[in-house]
Amino acid sequence: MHSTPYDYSIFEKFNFERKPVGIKFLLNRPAGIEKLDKSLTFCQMFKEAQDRGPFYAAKENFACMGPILLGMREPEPIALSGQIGANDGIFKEARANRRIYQHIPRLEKDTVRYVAFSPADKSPFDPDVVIFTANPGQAEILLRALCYSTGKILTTRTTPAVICAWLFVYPFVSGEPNFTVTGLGFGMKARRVLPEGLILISIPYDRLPMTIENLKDMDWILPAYSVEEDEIGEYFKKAAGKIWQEYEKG
Amino acid sequence: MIPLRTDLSVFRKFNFEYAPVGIKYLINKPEGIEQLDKIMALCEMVNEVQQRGTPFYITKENENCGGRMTLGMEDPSPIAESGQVGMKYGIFQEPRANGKMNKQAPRNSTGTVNYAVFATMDKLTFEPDLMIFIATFSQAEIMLRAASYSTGEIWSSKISMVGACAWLFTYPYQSGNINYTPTGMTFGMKARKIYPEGLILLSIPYNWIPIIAENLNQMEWVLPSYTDTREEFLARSEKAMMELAQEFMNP
Repeated sequence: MHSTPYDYSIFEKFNFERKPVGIKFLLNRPAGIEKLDKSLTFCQMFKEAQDRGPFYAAKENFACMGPILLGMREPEPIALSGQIGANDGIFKEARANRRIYQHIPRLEKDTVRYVAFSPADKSPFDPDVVIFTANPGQAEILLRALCYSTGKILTTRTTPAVICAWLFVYPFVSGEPNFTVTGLGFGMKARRVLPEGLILISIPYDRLPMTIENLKDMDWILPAYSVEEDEIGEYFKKAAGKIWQEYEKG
Repeated sequence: MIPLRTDLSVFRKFNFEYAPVGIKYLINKPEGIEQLDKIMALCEMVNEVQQRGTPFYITKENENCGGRMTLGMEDPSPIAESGQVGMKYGIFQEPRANGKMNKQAPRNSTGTVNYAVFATMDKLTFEPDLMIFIATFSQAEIMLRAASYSTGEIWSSKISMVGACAWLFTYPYQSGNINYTPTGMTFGMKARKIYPEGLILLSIPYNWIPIIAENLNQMEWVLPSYTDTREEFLARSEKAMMELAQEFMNP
């Protein structure tokens, strides 16, 4: 791991209750980081990293679907044919469950043998993806920072099961941020990884510098958000009038 | 307007705090429904009908934000299209960013929707083009799971920081795709304080409503795994995997 992490200090201003977590997908064992000493699901490892320092996980540390998504193991016909989701009552029949596997992103076989996790503020590596656990107010600011200079629309993708694929792997392979709310995905909900009411925002490495720059440049709380409910109509009318005046002056 | 024939009664079981709202887009004036007597933004109209309880229709004269443009009641102004507005409010760094976002926003062809009817579910007399649900996270989980239960549909959403109405009122209607957003994420609705934070706004087009209603009638709303203790869940998962493996080995 050669690259230097960016300066993430701007994120400290959010005072997140749960720390942002950086993840790095690696072919070779990372030096200077301890190996996880237990077996957890991918989503639980993310939670584990919020509560402790950096660690890395190998194939034997992953429970659930992690090794399949990471290309460490071929998926079993039982999973791919959709038996599990039907058995859990998530889907009516296996045929519905199997459709999601047409969309679920996976890494190429044997290209990842280790995954490093760390709270982003203590990260000894430059993460491939950073996942934020935000309340709705914090999420609005972070999502706005993703669009502030680009005008990109926000798209999200997830599935009722195997949400880890969309939070950890999809942003890495697509370069697109993704977000979801806690309580929507089966595994995380059943395992009670996080309480409901939070927004999980996953940002890939190539979108982080721009997000950081935008957070430095933009107003975090827009003036309109502090206007009283019964005055907002007038506020918008005034602002629109001013814009039209400028336009008519040419 | 075609009279309501879809059975929506299953949605009552949710006891939504905010009544679900049906919307119909029309080229010609609807009969037997009164016009809204106020001017407001399109995103406010769902909440307006929830508070009034009586259905109403709107024309472009009732709308004072970007809603009339996305619905196709009026052409967009150069000021809006060029992205001046978003920069003025501090949402974007420069008009180019706002303009780019506007270019991606779906809109109906001008003149194709001249009236939009709003009615809460209990007063719905017509087949809606779209239904808007304001749900808690738990309710949203059940609704979205119902969409995927028989279909395996992946959950996808599209939203913009401004002009969110285009993605909530026009995109599902045009694409036939479900859309959703947590409340408090988009500028106009947040500034107008229409709904409190911590809810999910789901916009469901007509083609999905019977599928979701039927699946809600069939599926378990609260999965056993959600009420298990952690140990019970792990034991249930292990047992299920063993049973599935046994069946697989002995076809």
